[in-house]
Amino acid sequence: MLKIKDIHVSYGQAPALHGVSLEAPEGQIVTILGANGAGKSTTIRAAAGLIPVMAGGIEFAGKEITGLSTEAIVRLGICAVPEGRQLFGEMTVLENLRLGAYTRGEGRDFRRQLDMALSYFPALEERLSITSHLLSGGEQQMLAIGRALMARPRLLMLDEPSLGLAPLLAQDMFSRIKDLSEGEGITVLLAEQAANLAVGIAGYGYVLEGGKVALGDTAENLLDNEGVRSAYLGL
Amino acid sequence: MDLFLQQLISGIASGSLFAILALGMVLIYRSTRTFNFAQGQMAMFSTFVAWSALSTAMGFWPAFFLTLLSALAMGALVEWLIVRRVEGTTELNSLIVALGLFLVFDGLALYIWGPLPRGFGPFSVFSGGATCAGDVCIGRLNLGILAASGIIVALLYLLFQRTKFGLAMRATAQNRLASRLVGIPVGRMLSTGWALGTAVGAIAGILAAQSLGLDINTMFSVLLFALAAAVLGGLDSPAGAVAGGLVIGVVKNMAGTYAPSSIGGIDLTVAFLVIVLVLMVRPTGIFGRTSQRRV
Repeated sequence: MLKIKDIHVSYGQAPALHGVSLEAPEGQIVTILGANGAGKSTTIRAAAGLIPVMAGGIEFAGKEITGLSTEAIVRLGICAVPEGRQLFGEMTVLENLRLGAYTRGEGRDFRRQLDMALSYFPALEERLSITSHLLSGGEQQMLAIGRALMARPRLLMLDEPSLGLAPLLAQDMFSRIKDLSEGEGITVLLAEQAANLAVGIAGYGYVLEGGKVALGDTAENLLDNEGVRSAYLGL
Repeated sequence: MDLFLQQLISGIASGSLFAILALGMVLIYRSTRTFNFAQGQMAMFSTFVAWSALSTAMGFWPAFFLTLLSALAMGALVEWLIVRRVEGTTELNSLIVALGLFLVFDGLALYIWGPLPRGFGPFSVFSGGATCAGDVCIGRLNLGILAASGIIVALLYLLFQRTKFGLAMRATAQNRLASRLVGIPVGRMLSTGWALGTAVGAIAGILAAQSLGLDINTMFSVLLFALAAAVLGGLDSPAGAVAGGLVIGVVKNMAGTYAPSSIGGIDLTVAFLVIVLVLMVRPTGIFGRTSQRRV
């Protein structure tokens, strides 16, 4: 579904990615692990068209998407939820969800999509008319993912969805991500520092180090890998 | 009492004019965070366009809508050609761009239409007897200004609160990155902000020139009070621009009426004193968003 082929990205003079290649097969959850600054967020931002790719290419559903605008990429069915959630803080929960469906219809489709998103995050239902910056951290994360669902994505890219959540809440968030990936057949690319949670729901994982892929393997093998266990899983 | 009521109504009418021009500034500020003090000169330019259209013996309404269209195009073009080049750099750059726009429109108008004042209206829609209730009267032009500001506010409210496009415009004003993430064409929203702001400014120009006459300095005094209104109301709040405009109009008129006539220019002084006082209490203006930064 998503194929990232040897991409290079820099912020000004500072190189951030030198030759990252990874794949997310249709319907699967793939996680990107790595320390702070390893290039996890940058990989997602590049795939979302938020920063330019200097070399290499990105392919989605057999189509070259390198260099497309974020708007065009969203229309193709890729939605990113970046670190920090990026909600419209002064708008209501419902307005945020409506904006999530900006590239889709407003009519009956919207209603169906709203019901689908709320079925995974029912806590949002009674909060629809609340200004979103008043939500708790967990609810804000639900809204961020719910808003991305409104665009009817085929690929969902999540950056640190556990950030700032209490351990139990984080665990709950990951099981919902798994549910919606299975329920809607959505491919998920998941960048996480809370590696044990991420590997727990993923089928495949990549370890980034200093802007390069250091390792790519199935989740089971990663869990068995001594180096990964000590460096990222804290086991 | 009648004098008070009369001055209140006149104040509200001139305040509405400030409000319209301020509203245009706020629309532009919300889109690209440009403090557009070229707003007055752009409005003056549009009013000259209207004058040229009218001098071809076109009726008022066709000329009016033609001017609106040209102002929409002009605003979008300015954003697309010029403002976008300094986007995301420093605030100083965008101030210098505004200054440049001021000079460009000033110079262009002088080049095309010359320095002489031109007669402009009042047009038949805005002329005729005053409407009176007892001893308190309001002239047709002032009535027109009130109506125009009411219509503009209502239309903008419908656009921003009732349409998907308006929702996307508000989203863009609030969070650029999030807007891109949900697939809003951000650039187009910014151009639209400039287009709408310029068109609203053109309406202010057409209304103002009917009592002030038309030359390249027509909008100076209006701009001064509109700037004050926008700052007073909060630069990113359309409702604030309207409230600010009305407050300034009324205070200015009252000061001019009740202060001893020996003090010249007292209306200006008092109006700006009020602004200083309000901004001391609320630095972001009456309706302005408190400048909190969330992580």
